[in-house]
Amino acid sequence: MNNQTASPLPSNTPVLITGGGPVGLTLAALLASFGIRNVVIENDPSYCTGSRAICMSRRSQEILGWVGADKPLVEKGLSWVGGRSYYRDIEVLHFQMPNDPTQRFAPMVNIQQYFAEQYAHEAAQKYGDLVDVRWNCTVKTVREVANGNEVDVTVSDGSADGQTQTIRADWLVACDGGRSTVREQLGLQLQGMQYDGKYVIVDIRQKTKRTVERLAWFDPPSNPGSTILMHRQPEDVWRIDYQIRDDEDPVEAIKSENVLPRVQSHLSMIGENEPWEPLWISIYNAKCLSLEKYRHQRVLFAGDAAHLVPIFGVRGLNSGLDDAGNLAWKLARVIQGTSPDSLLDTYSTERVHAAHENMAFGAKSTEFMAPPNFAFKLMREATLKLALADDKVRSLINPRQSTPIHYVGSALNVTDTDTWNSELTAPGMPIPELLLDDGSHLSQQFGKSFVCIVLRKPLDKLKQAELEQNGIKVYSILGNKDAGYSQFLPLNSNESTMLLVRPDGYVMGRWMGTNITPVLEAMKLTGVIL
Amino acid sequence: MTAQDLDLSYTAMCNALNDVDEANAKSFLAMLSLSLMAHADNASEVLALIENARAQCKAS
Repeated sequence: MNNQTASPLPSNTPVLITGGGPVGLTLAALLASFGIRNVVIENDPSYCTGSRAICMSRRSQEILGWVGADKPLVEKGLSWVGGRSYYRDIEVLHFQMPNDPTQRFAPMVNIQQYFAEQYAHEAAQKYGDLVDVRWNCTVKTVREVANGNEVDVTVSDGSADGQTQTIRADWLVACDGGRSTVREQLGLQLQGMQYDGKYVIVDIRQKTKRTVERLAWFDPPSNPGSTILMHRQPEDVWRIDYQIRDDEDPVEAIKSENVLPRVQSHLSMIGENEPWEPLWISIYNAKCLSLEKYRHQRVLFAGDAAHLVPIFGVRGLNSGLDDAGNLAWKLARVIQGTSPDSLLDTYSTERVHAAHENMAFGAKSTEFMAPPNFAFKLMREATLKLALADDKVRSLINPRQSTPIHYVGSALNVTDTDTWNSELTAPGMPIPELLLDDGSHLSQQFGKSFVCIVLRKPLDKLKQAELEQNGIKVYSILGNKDAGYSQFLPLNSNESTMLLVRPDGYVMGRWMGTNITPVLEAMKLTGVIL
Repeated sequence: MTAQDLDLSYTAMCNALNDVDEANAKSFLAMLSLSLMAHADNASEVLALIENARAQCKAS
């Protein structure tokens, strides 16, 4: 994959990222976009095998857009149009994804994880020497030293095969997955719970003419008692997940001779009769686990190294990319000396809060998809039977898809002093999308710096210059045809307004008028600057 | 009853049902049904729900 593995690893780096999966590679590209040099070390020789995390949320597409990785992903990926759930062979739920034409991205796109890794890596490579990705490199030990960490890495490729080299990093970011070596080296443990119900995951290649929908069958005639999920992926790949019985041996369950007949039975039942071949088989059980804190001195945790959430609701990779989006600008500012290192504590508090929210939603989805006891099983059966004739209960079947988390109570939020039309633009909320009159989208303004959005009346040039001298870009919207525009405005007032938005697209504060003093004070009040 | 409220109630009920144990499940469900009937606005709404549940139960 990369011939750089033959050259020695650098002895020093401002940031070492362990784990070259989608979160690590995206973080590498994001840090480089802020001018921060970093090294990524990955155990494997290349991108992952198997489809793994396949559903990319709108928010994840936005984050990848900050480094230009959205374009190939959108071109390759398949956008959901909705979903259908069946009880036995009768449809009990049909939902359509709210694909608002004023949005920049589809609400959910299916794509194999290895493509997401490739696009993030290619985006990182555009920053030249700022990003140094090394494959076939295994973390052995992590030692805390003054103002950083030393990491011993074994290289298992090329002329350096078997050699151990040491990298000193000012900051170490562990993106090394659910079995994180860095976490183990620091003596930290994930806390939470695991569910017993196990799902076999199978990728197959088969041509189909079906639309791109999330498909779920409960107790289908093809596999009585089981639950089956199907997602279309690019290049004629189906992702099929099915639950195995509690008394089945997981090792036996993933053997081809046990998997292929079940898949064939289901494909025959739904009328997918084109020839097919298996590509990848794995097994999964739902987990709700997280570290208590994601910052430990100069070590930060992101993605599965920090938290494991159930797959139902697609919060795993999507929350990992949100970690990267939250961390990149903060770490860049700390390294550049424009923010105190206490800013990184807000990474931990905000993303631990997000993990708990994601786990709460994920637990509810899991309790429906893999009922943990007789009560959830009985009630699910009741829901499915009633759903045939009572639409009031159908919402219980709908999986709770990943959405960006509101950072309630974050130290970076400035309390409102005015009253507003909508809570969707409140401090701590991801700012809503807006189609601008020139055809571009508001979300295209984020990812690089703080932005002060000025609505209705422009700021005078002196005020604009003062904000820009303080690292805040000014973006004026003097009028807008999008129905969502009113969300940005104060209640019952024609005053002009200002919203201060973080580089990751979250609202910090909002004010009526054109007095920029509270905007500048907000940066100090929240601890972004000293 | 919003979808969010239904979700919350559903989870609470499943947890309570599991807590009383499978041996007491029928009794728990009967008591809860009676409580919900007693707190409903009128009989016509309840009678329609009873008929729907009966029909779906017999059909499966």
